[in-house]
Amino acid sequence: MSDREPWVAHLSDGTTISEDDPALRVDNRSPWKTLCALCRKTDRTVTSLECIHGHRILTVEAKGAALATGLTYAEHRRLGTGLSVPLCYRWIVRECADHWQWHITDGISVWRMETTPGEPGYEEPPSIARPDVDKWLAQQEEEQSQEAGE
Amino acid sequence: MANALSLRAYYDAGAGAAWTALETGQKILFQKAGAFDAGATGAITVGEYNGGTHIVDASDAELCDTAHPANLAYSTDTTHYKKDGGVETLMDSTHPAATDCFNVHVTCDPTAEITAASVFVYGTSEAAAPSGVTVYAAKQGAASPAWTNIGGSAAALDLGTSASATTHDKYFALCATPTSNGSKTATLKTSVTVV
Repeated sequence: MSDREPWVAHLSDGTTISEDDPALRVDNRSPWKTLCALCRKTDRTVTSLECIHGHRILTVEAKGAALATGLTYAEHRRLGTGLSVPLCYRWIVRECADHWQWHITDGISVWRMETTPGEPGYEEPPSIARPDVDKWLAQQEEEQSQEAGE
Repeated sequence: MANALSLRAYYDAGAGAAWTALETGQKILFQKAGAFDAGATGAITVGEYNGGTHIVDASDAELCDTAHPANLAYSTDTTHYKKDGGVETLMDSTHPAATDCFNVHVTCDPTAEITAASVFVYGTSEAAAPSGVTVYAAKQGAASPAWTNIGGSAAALDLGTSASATTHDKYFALCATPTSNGSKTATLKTSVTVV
């Protein structure tokens, strides 16, 4: 559905590590989870994260809070026509004590959300940033209809 | 270096039963019981459930002509189902079988955990349930699965999390009942979050 660019983490000891670093590709574990375990073991923290996704770059400073990153994949499939839209969001969340700050991109737009701790912020982009799935699907349906009529 | 999500159905298009991704333009067709009929005579009566499940292309030509996907339908209550019009069966961790369900298939490179996965249908907006049709889904493999009305984002069915792996599979049963006459439209949204 979508290619992925590796994230880059800057650590509290001044070092930098990428998702593709061999040190994070162990035991069939998620590189991000491996980095979290490595930081706990060596008493380091992630001070900032950078991710390239599509045409956008997300850079988030920890400012004393924990950071996390991930990808959300979604498929919207119109049951009447079978037309589908695949979407992929990259997000970084700063986990402050009393709220979580989400930085999200679909590769074209970038937006921020705040949620209570633990609540996902990546599922429902605000309408201003939400890709116009309905418009895209309607356009595809019109093209399909025209092709059927030819 | 890529991740991918696909919605798949288990059926036989002539080369043996297999999980097959639904490409864009391919449709899940629910109809009343009987021979394949994508027209009005195959329409499900208001208040009844699908009696047949088919995969069709954009022209409504049947793709599952050797063996259809299993047809699962709501039975007497939220905890029972009927497969292909057979006996009423209580849902449990092995009923229905995964191959009787739809599959959200995720491949991950590098390895990733699934921290969230869900499915729902919507109408005019993600928050709105579709008009004129009620769609139910049940998570396959759960200890006590139950049909849930998945109309609107607030009613999304939680498909659970998964430990680190290069591939992940989530399965769900799906059925529908029209609440009014006429053709219906709805959008099925599946989503998976990986870390």
